[in-house]
Amino acid sequence: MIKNGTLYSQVTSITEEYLGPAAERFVSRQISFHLGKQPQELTSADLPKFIEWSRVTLGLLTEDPDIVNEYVRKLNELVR
Amino acid sequence: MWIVIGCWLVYTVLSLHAPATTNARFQLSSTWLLVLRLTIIVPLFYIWTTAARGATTFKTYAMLVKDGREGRAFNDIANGLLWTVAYVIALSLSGSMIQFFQHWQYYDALVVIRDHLPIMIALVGFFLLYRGSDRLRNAAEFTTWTSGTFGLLAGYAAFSIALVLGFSQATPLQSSAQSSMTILPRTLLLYTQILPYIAAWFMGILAGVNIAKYAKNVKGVLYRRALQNVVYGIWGVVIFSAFLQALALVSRYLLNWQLAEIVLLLYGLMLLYSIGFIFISKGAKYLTKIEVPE
Repeated sequence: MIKNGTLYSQVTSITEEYLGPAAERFVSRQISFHLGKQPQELTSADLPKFIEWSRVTLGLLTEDPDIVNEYVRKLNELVR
Repeated sequence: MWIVIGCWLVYTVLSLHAPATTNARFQLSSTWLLVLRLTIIVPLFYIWTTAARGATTFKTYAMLVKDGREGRAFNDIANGLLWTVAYVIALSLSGSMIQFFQHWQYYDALVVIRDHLPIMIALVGFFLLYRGSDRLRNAAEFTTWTSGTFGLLAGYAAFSIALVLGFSQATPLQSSAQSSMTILPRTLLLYTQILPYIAAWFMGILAGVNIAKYAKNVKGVLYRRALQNVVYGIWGVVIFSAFLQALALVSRYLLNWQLAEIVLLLYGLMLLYSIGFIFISKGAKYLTKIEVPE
């Protein structure tokens, strides 16, 4: 179980605004497939790569660039 | 899907070899009888396979999310949809099978089974749809009982009362086709057919309300968009299968309609019902894409 306040839960919380109950599975899959890590092991250093992959994957789900850009912007705020 | 195609082949063989006595009510020539049978058999293939494809696509999605918070709910809904497909198949298949047993000593028992089997299937299907939708309600924490729901159910209550009164006071049809009304007491049929249908449709309406509310309240702009097609589809399936069941019920017991009216209405409703499954299939494919986008 992921503790609240970890980077993983913050990322999941943002993703939930777009993918609802599928968010946790989506984030876990991105981390394990593209970063080769357990979801709990996500660190700030992984975020740029995670965001890039998530942009590509979300882009496959919607043709609305505003939604993808907004999602990426919110994730980028976690990098700062 | 192969089970559905197998059922269709059985139905086709049975229909094309149906005993001539079944034509007594309508007195059609052999050519017109063949044309009539083909106009039923061919659209049935499209209707059954479309419905089966929609239900199995949704079941595939439900299996994909079975470990998630909403997994059990979607699994119930998927199973409910599969049972509604089974209803449509059982309705046609039981009718075509029974014609071959007209001179069998237990023919009356078969007639009673034919008239009661579809309602059993419909009851299970609508119960599963309702149970799944209720699990979604628990997951997303919204209330079913708003003024809109009460308004909808008030209309439904009026319809139910009219159906019970209509059934209680109707004169049995003078038809060549045997039905449960000529075998069993009317009061018994009220409890074994009319009330179970009313309960099934009630659960179907609540399922439609809950699923629509879930799609409105759940988080996720893209997820909600995908669910919208599922909501349209499930409403379509619930409404049109309820109308289909009502038509099957009243045409057997209450209305002495002409052949063209029955066939047109029955297959028109089945077509609309299958369109509901096209929406479900579209929504389920998008939901699956969210789970397996790569």
